[in-house]
Amino acid sequence: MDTPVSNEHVVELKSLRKTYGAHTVLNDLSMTVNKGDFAVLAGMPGSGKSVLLRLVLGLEGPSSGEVILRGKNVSDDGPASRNIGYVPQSFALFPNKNVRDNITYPMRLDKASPAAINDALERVCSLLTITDLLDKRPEQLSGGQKQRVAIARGLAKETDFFVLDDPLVGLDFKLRERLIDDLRYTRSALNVTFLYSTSDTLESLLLATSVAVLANGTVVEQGSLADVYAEPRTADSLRGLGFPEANFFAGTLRRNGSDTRVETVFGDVQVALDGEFGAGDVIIGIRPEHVRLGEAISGSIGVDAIVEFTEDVGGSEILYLSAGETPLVTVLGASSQLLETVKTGHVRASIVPQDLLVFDADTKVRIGRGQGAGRG
Amino acid sequence: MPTTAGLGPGVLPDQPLFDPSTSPRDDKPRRVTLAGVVSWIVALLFFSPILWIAMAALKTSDQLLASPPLFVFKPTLDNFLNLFETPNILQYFVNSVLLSLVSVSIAIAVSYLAAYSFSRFKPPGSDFIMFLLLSTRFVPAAAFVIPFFQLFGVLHLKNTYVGLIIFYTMFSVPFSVWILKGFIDGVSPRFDETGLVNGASRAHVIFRVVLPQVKPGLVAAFVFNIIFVWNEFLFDFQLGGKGTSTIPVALFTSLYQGGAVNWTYVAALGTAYVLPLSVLIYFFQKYLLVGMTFGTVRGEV
Amino acid sequence: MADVRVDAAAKYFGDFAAVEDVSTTFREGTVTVLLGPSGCGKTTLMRMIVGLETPTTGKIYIGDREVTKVPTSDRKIGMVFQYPVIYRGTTVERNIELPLIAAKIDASERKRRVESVAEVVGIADLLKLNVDRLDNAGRQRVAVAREVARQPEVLLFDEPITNVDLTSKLELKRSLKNLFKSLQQTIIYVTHDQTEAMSLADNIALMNNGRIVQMGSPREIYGQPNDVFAGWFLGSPGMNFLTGCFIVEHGQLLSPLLVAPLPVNENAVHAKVLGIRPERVRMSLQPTDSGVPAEVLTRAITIGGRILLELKVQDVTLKAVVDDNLAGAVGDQMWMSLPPSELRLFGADDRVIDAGLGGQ
Repeated sequence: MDTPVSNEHVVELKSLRKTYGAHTVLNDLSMTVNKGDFAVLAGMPGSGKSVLLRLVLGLEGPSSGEVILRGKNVSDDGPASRNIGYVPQSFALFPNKNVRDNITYPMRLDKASPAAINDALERVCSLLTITDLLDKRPEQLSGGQKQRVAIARGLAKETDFFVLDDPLVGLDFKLRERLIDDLRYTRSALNVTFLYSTSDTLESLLLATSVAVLANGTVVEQGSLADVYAEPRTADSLRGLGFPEANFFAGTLRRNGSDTRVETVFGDVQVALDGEFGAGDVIIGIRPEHVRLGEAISGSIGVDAIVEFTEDVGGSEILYLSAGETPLVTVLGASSQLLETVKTGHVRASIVPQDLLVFDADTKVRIGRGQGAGRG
Repeated sequence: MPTTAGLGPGVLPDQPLFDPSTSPRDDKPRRVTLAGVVSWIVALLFFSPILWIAMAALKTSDQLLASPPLFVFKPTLDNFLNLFETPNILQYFVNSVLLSLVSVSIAIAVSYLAAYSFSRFKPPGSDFIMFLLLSTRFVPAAAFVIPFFQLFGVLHLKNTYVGLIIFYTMFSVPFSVWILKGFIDGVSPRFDETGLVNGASRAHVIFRVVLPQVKPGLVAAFVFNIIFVWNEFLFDFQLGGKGTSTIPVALFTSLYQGGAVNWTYVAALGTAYVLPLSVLIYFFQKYLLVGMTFGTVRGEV
Repeated sequence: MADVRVDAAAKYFGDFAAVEDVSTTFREGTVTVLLGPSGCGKTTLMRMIVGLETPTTGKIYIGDREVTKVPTSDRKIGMVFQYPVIYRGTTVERNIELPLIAAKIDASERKRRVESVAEVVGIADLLKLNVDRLDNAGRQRVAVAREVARQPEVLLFDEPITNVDLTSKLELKRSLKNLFKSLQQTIIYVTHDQTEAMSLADNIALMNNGRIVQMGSPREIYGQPNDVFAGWFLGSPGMNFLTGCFIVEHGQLLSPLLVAPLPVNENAVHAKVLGIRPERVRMSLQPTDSGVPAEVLTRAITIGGRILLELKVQDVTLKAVVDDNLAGAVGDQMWMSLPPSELRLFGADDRVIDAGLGGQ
């Protein structure tokens, strides 16, 4: 059961900036993590996720700005005083210690009593079903077991806040499926807060209650996953959250009095602007699930396309189409009746203009959305 | 789990992967091949000087100088008995053991800390500092024996243990740092961070988290440098004196004892000298490989 | 051109059975994907076909010829490895051509083969380029082209996409799909990736613990798994497996998950596990005739914006994947029905039971 989200901040980052020499990694970054969140930092590799986590953990200090942890400014404090549970990338299980000693390591460092250590050990082991492994050494474990032990070690600290740095990267698909369930369940069972980084889109979608999208060293959007998914305010959010990745086209906004239009592969589309925006270059985005095949529904506009390649991802089929020169991606359920028509290689791809999102080409911020079919 | 009534994926296989490299392969019968025979011959050829010395140590002077060489003879331990009656012989052994153990131990401790810093803190110019460190080791020792001779003279360090320990420690640091840095680089900084985040001090990370993971590197660096120092001749000859001579120096000076070469003495001392090192190398040979490759080839250590 | 037949092959490493008693035929002109998790024996089976391992027992045939102990070089086999194997420091063209020169094929035929295969594999424009300048994906294309140009009877691929950048994976997969369409050889392709397998295969041989669990078309294995493992391994998430929540008596299957008993045949008494794919679970926000009340425990977004729900029906939890507009919020009550034709029953040995439930 997901814990109701409260407004109490566990972490608050204010105008963070981090530079290495002349290289700026994070710039004017602000975000918050609420108590009880499964907060996911989503972003491409190299967008600054790991550096951000290092600042939160205290492994590095910010060049400017503030890190506020549980209401207290800790920007200048080292990691030891921050009381954060940590699951690093790539396991980092001590090879010279058995599983039990690995898991109890944080508590032994905290000089917890043997009774408390035993309680914590039992708790995390039953959560992650690793009780049988306690006397093994890390090299005797499979990848999935190692990862579960690493997660258990992170969770064995008596604290309310945990940082997980892309812990499932490199694991095979079935293991990730299992661990995603484990992580979701663990967070709600302990009623704690997770800050979790990943560059895997599906992982973000399956885990997050709240999400912060990182691009170019700053958080471009933050909010509940459902909200950001439904109404992405930047092109990076649309790109970073959603599997398969959204379709993007370049376009130019034309204005004629109050009538604003953009030319797309589906035809001319009228655009409803959110605010003031002159004519100029825009990015148009649409989610794959909004590119529909088969019978046109009322108000939709469409284009003939060729099926180039299909990819079966188990329960869904991803279709790579081309409409003239323009590539289009769409997705069908495995039970869809349409799969038969796809085999012919020729389909009609149509959209409802309201599903088209329009972003400023420079700032990547959303400026409006499609509104109705045009003259085409 | 939330009442997972189903079997769930949990019951399905998640066992350690089968790793063919550690599993017994086919039980093929061992066959004697030509290549095997040749490699035995070559290896024995390489071993023959040691064998000659070891055999010579068990011969009388006449047997030793016989031509053609004798392979069958009645061994005698007289040479060894004589050896221990030689004045100062115990002193030479003590000097060799003391100088190599003490200076290499100090060097390893210093080098480990230095290597940790180079690996983790990457001070500006790390690469160049590492290069400078090694520079004394890629020119022949004879090239810089004079500055040391003068320096040690001015500092009154000649023929002192302190002086030679300082020198051999310095002599051992470069390779040790290189070897250990290779090993520490192989330990993910995630380990350090896991310790730090959980409240550990830096000293705890250095000695309790990282050190246990680079033990093979420490052994490799130790064995490597023991070999160097044990075999070092020139500097002990130049900077040492009667009280601080090591066995290589003793061997050299004894060659000219009494106007002629005392072959049986040389053979006995040489054998006694080679023995401890051979045992050390035999038991730690796998570490020598990782040492020579600066930790980049792990082998099965 | 020839079938590859494996007859009761087993491979032991000490006491460990990497492959146990596998008998199967890889048909000429089809793409068979050996699919399974790490350590399932797929690589060992392939290495025996190639001749890099000798079976402990059993025989391997290529066409009518027994090749169990024939060296690799005499098997008329081409193989593409996980890491691209190329001749460095020379051109793409030369890389493809070298084995043909060694086989003393004349220049005009060489040229014809190189050009046609380069076209299909998508490196026609790169023939004069030095291979060192290509990335892993490009090099793998060259390796594929070289093996195809040799025109072996059997072509094997050992996870050829695994070490390619994420961004190039899709393109390479596409090229391979096109290539496979144009080839007549027997193609055996090893992977642990279900998406790759389902997208490229004519037939999948699903392996686990050294055995082939099920062999069939991707749709067949996905839709009608013969084994609990098959239901779990394919699909994301895999099949729901429910135990202890149904009984079979008097030719009927009764369960709190069903509003009415289902007629089943006498085989069903051995059933221990009830399986259904999450996307085949039907959900409704309003009460329905066939629906039982279900509480939404968790809700997440998954592929194509569909919603993955974890549901609780009495004390049973299961997963369902539904369209966005059909999914309730966490804590909501919904109505769930399990279409009988989508249910699979499995016995204590994890094998499917033909219980006469429509879908089988």
